[in-house]
Amino acid sequence: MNCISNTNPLLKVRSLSKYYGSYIGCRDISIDLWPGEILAIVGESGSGKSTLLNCISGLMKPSTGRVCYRNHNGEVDLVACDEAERRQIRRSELGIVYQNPRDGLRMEVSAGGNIGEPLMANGSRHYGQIRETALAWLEKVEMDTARIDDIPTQFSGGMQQRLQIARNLVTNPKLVFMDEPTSGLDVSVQARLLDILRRLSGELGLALVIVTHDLAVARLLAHRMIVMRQGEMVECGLTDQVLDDPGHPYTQLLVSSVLQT
Amino acid sequence: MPLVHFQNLCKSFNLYTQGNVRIPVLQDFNLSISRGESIALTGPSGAGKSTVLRLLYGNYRVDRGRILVQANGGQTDVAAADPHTVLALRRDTIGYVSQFLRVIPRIPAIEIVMEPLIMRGAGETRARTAAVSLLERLSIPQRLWPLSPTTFSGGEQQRINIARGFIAPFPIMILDEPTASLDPENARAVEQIIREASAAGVTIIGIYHNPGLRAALASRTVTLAVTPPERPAPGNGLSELSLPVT
Repeated sequence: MNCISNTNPLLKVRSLSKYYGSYIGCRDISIDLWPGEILAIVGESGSGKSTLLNCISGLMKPSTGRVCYRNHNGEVDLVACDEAERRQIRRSELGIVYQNPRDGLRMEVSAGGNIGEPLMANGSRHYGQIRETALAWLEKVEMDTARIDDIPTQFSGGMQQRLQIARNLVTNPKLVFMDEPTSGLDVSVQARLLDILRRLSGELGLALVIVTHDLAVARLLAHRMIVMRQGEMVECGLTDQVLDDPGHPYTQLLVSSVLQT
Repeated sequence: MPLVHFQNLCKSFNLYTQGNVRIPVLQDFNLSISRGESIALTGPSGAGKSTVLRLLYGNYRVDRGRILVQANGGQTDVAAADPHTVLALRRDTIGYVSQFLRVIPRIPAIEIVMEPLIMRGAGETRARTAAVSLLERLSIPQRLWPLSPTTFSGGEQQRINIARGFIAPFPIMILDEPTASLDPENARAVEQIIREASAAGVTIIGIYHNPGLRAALASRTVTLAVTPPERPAPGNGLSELSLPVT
């Protein structure tokens, strides 16, 4: 099921800015995200897209602005709330998939352990059930379940990335942030990963915010996209609209520069 | 109250990376469409027929004007709607069959056809049954159903496009050259599908180059003319952004 919900936004970003001294990381970004929606943040190197993602996901404190996340308790400003609450929400309701899987995995812990650990952190204690869940998730990300006891260094980059996705999704988050999840991977590996993401997002009604420099990834996965340049959001809208009818000169340059979108 | 109302619609394309060329396509385009009507847009190539359809679907951005659509007991201006609203319109109100099938590789044809029903919450079995029925009707051989349409012929791809477009009922259907790549027999099958939708009360806005098809399907024809190019103004260049010249 991939219904775009008609309820209130899941995430509301308002006037988010991050400065490094006088250098603009990102400036005055406002955007809403609905449940089940996939948003791509697109831009070239130095555009501020990773800075924006880090601020929205709570990894970095912005200079100004609010990031209002809605859950069953109501609305929480992830910027202003205390660290304990932010961590608790990140652990149980959000996911973060890093560009380098080594940043998002415990390299000395088995694949099964990596998937099971977030469950245990949320209070699960039944070892048998945790292992069953880990096996099911290895299947969902199309990995060989016989390798549940292998450690991440024994896997390829693409497999590590799939393991990272499983580790993030096992707690059934509503919203997952991804920074260049397919960069550095061979194209066939990229394709498989994107297909898995597309399928899982649809099945789970998962909202995703994906940073990418690759317009084709945005076209394939995202309902909406924003284009970043030098810290500013120069264009935003439906993905097909931004790519088929780019309004801003920089967006036109990007679209005309790629081989095929 | 019309179901779809284009009001003083203006659309130009500004090609900043190609010498700042500005191509005006629509200037104060007005059209009212009542519920259940079947309209055909005609006119020479470049007149803006596909542009009108894409603006209604939210695929192109409006420069000025409004596109009012009656939906969900209210009225929405597509030109001013936020992306979330447009996505909801595309899910429930406006169906679109374009000239080209933009294919996601590696997805089987039958799943591409099923997807609009799945997105409305239909179960897999019901969606599959509906897809099979349409694929059979459009003479797509069963051996092709589990394959990705990337290697299909143009005609086969277009029939997948049609099946995907018609599997879920929409109050409004936008058809851009639905029979373009089809042989006469398949074109007749598609014509029949469109007739049935029209008879069921679907409002249809279509572009049909084939005059026979247009006459058979459309109760009203609207003709667009090519907008003449503007005289270039002196110093009509882009100043706020310096882009590398390649």
